[in-house]
Amino acid sequence: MHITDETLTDAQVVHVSGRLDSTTSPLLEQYLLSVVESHPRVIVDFTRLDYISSAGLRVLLMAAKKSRARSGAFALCALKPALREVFEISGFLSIIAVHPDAESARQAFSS
Amino acid sequence: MLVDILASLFAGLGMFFIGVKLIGAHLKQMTGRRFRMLVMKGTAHPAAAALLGSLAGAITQSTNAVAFIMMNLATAGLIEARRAMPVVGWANVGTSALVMVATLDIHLFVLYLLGLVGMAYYFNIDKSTRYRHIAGALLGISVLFLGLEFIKNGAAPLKSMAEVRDFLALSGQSYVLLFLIGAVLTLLAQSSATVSVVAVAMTSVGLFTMDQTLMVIYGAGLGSAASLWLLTANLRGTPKQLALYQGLYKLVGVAAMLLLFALENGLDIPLIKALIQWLSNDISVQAAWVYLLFQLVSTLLLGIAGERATRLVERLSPPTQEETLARPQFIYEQALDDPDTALDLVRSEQQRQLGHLPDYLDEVREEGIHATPRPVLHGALISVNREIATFITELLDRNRDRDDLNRVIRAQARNSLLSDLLDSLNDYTDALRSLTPGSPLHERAARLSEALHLMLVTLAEAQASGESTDLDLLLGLTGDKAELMERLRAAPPAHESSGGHAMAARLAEQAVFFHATVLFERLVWLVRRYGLQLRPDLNATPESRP
Repeated sequence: MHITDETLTDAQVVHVSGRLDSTTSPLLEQYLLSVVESHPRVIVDFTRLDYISSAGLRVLLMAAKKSRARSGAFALCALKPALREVFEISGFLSIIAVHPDAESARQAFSS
Repeated sequence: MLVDILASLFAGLGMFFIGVKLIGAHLKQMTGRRFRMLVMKGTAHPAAAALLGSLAGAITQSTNAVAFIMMNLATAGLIEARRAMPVVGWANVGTSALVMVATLDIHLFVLYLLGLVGMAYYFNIDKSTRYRHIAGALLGISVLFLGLEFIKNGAAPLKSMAEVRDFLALSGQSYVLLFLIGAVLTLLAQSSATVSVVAVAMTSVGLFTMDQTLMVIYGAGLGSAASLWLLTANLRGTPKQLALYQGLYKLVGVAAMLLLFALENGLDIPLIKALIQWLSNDISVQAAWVYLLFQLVSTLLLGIAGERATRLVERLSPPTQEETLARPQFIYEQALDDPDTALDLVRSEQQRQLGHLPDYLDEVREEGIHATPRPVLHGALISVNREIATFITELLDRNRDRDDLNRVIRAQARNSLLSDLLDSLNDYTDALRSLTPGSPLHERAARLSEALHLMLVTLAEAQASGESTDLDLLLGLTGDKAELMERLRAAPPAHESSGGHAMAARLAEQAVFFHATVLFERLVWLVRRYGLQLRPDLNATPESRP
């Protein structure tokens, strides 16, 4: 798994690539919670993410919870079809906003 | 004449036992929740623990009852076992209160008290929620002392009977026999204080000499240890440590008192008997002092042993991490006597079951750990679940408090859902095992399993944290999936191969997948139902309840 981040004018974008499983999710947890702590608007870009397990989903849930507690905005974008199916089955779509790309997520934050 | 004497003794003992039970039952009802809260604060300081233990022993008149309350609290994780140990030790000292009061001449007081309580009952005070326990405890005190009077009056003529004098002369020569009589009677009566009070009553009418009384009291101490040993034979780990501590307390005390007795009688060194003669001229008061000194010597010796005694019982019964999956770790029979703590124990036991739910998916998940074979896991969890169900049913039968009753009913509903979750998860995993690894439907089913795993983990976390935000997230995850499942069933992922044999296999896989999605829907519904059952208890978790 590889993580990078990018600062837009009104949001922080975290790019995650590779596999997000029980081995790699602690790393993302540390990274993402710290980003949510310091930025009110966070987008997680999954363009290059190939796999996500329950452990990875849990990290996103924790980040969303933390963001909500801080009255922040948290969104995901660019899910591959198989990943989108996991998110849909998990019920994430009713908890976390999912957008086609980072730009539309950013616009949704502004609207 | 003998028939009259025996009838009087028998009736006296009967009234005495009724009195002890009434006092304990009503005072416990009055102090249950407050006592538990007091214990949690009181065990923080040794002096407070001493006061608390003495008070608890005086109120319940049973060190075993105090030991069991402490075991409940320690098992529920509300206090550390080693902090509860001094409370159990000092409860022994507290039980001396009854023995001391029994030596007072309160004949007229008891008659007036009984009259007053009788009048109060005539005016239906037992229907009053506010006063019924006070009236019940006072009735117990009256009946207890009236019973003692019967025993004293019945026993007084015994000493003039030749047969009794012969028996006492014979038993007086055999300290071992009297010691064993004290132990056996305590095993039957379940209280060394009770047996000691009767021994003191016998002494007061001149039926026992002081040496004979000492032997009965010391024997009662050993009987008390044996009775707790039998009652806690099925326990292990932390609660067993407290039983062992109480056993050690009694054994050390008995050994020390017997040694002092031997030194005093054999070498004429003035010790216990000299001390009690200095304290009082009245032989029955002297006998009562022996009981108190016995408890104080035990407390002193274990206080000196301090950390070594604690380490010894911890070594003899080390805390269990996962003694066995099939054994309940929190609930046990005696906990039913304290409904409030019993419910906390049920919650802890159910939390433990929730923690194991994700383990069912190990077989069908890429990241499964396979720590325990599923049949073993399922058999063990179902067995514990049934024990919880039985425990709750018994709690329901015994409970009269409306607030507690609502909590018990919710605990029962949760347990029923847990049972359904265990069976459905087992069926779900069975179904998925039939899918061909690597096939598109297998991969789709793997996504179902990851989602389900997340919901089960979130459920366990929601109950553990007791936070409404966690519960809201769980309810968000477990919304209605009917439409989504219909879509997944109707649009199977593309297959690479085709042909007759492949088609048959594909249809079989689709049937399995269909079954799995039905079970998945049911599991999501059960998780949601369980979450909804948590809502009313959110403000009443063990940590936050007043």
